[in-house]
Amino acid sequence: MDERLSPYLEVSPPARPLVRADLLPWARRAIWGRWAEVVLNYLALATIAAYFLAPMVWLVTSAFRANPSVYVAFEGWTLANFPRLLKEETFLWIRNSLIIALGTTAMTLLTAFPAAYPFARLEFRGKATLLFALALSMTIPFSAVLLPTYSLARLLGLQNSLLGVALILAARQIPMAIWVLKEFIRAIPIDLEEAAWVDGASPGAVLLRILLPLSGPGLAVVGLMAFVGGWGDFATSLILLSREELFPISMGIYKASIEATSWGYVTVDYGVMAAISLLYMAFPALAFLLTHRYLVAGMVIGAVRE
Amino acid sequence: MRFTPRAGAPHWWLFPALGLWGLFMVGPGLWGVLISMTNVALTGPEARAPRFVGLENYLRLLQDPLFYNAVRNSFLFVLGSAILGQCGLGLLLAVLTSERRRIWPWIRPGGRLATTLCYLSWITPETVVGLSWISFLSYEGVLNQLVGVFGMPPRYWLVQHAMLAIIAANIWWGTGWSMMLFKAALESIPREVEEAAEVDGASGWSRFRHITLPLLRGPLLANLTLITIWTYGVFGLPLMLTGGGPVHRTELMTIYAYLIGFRFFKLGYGMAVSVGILIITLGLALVYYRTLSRER
Repeated sequence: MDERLSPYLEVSPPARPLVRADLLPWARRAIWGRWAEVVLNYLALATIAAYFLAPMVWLVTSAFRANPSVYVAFEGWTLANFPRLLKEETFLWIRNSLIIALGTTAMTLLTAFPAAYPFARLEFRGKATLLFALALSMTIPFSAVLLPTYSLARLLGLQNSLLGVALILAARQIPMAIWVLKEFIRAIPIDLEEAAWVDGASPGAVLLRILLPLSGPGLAVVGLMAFVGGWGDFATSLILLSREELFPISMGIYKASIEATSWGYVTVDYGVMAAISLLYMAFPALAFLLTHRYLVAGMVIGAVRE
Repeated sequence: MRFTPRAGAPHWWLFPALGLWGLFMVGPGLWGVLISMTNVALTGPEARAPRFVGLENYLRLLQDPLFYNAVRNSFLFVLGSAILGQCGLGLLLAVLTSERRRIWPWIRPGGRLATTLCYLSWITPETVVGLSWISFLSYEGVLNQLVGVFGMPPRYWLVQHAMLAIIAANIWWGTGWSMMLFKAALESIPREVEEAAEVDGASGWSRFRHITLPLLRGPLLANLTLITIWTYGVFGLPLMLTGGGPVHRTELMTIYAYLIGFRFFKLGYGMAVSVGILIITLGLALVYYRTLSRER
């Protein structure tokens, strides 16, 4: 054996104890710290969950109880409150809410989709300014223009008109709709449109035959937002509608709660109110389930990466 | 060769959308400024023949103690509900339930329950939130039943603690948005950064304080401005819960404007309050877009 190799051959792994004594207190602290962290986390989560759950308990139980009051009780279960929604005034509320929501959706899509096309494909003077103005107006809450809107709508004869409510709501949806649809159209390769122009297609045909089928998801998102916006609206109906047969669900619930707080709970049918509230919630809940993924993805791009 | 899309979209396609937007979003702003300089009212002689009064409404506003009261209430409401409440609770929930926290796996179901409930209350329509909270806070309601378990006497929450009540209800309603935003922001922080800190022995709190929080600065600032604007504009929920009462104690600026216009029918004067709200909102919105472009 070569003399020169011997020192290397004799090298063995250093003797290391199984548990290093100097690390023991640190490990114990780490494990106990972990446990304390877990317990604290669970306590915090339980408190938060209770905070979000407690105000809902009355609504959910009362919808399934016969003749509930403002007390919470867990007895007298029934499904009878739901069929009753289709009779009496609640049917009108549902109908009016649907008219407002569908009207808002239709008017938003019909105006915003053609408008998004020039924003996506053309360069024109004042485009950037206009887009910024649209974005700026998106942040203005409706309550800031409540009185002027009322005064303007009265001037235009839009009082007690479901169409008027839908018009105002559509106007509020338009900025967001244009921004979203513009991005969707920009993502479509322009070659398709160019091919159509070469074939002599008119702008309208390009929009309807080529862009419309390809912007399906964008239209769905915008339409869903407009529908949920119209469905959940309260302030616009509050200032424009005074005739009770035109009330949407939000106004019906508002009226009932005002009656309940000022006259006591004798006049209000809480079972029907709770049932219609659950029905009222179901639409936005469904919409949220459908779009949750896109919402989060859009926010990562929009709000976080910016 | 490429065809320029000059013929692609006629400019007039912009007009229906911009017309509707101009009429009902820009229009009311300008109309409000105009009307606020008249003494127009819904009833009485001023309704018949309104006249131009210049800045009289604004001068009156500056001497109106109820207006200052409303400004103060709005400030308290935004501070408690948006800045401390929604932002704080949203951040806490996002950090506690973030998928990447390698804490005991069985904390996940609890996290998912809290997140789902938080989203559920976020998507609840305004009036349903109002109805739920009216019943929750009423004298015979759930809160008094819960408080009774701990041996505390029942209270008229909406009267005795009116401001606290509308703040709590609005936190309940709005936190989902902040949580969603912060969760998305947390997921976009590179995992290696936190792991490196963990290997170096940084505790949970100091990891959060020195690594996560600085990386969240951008989303945090943007979100704070945005929810400040939104919370400032909240109107229906406090109207339903307290209607500005008792004795003006929860009269936010938005509610004050509504009450002047629709209870006391002084449209011109109410419009001056509205213009004040509008100016503050636009200022905040400009701050928001400045923050966004600076963080970019």
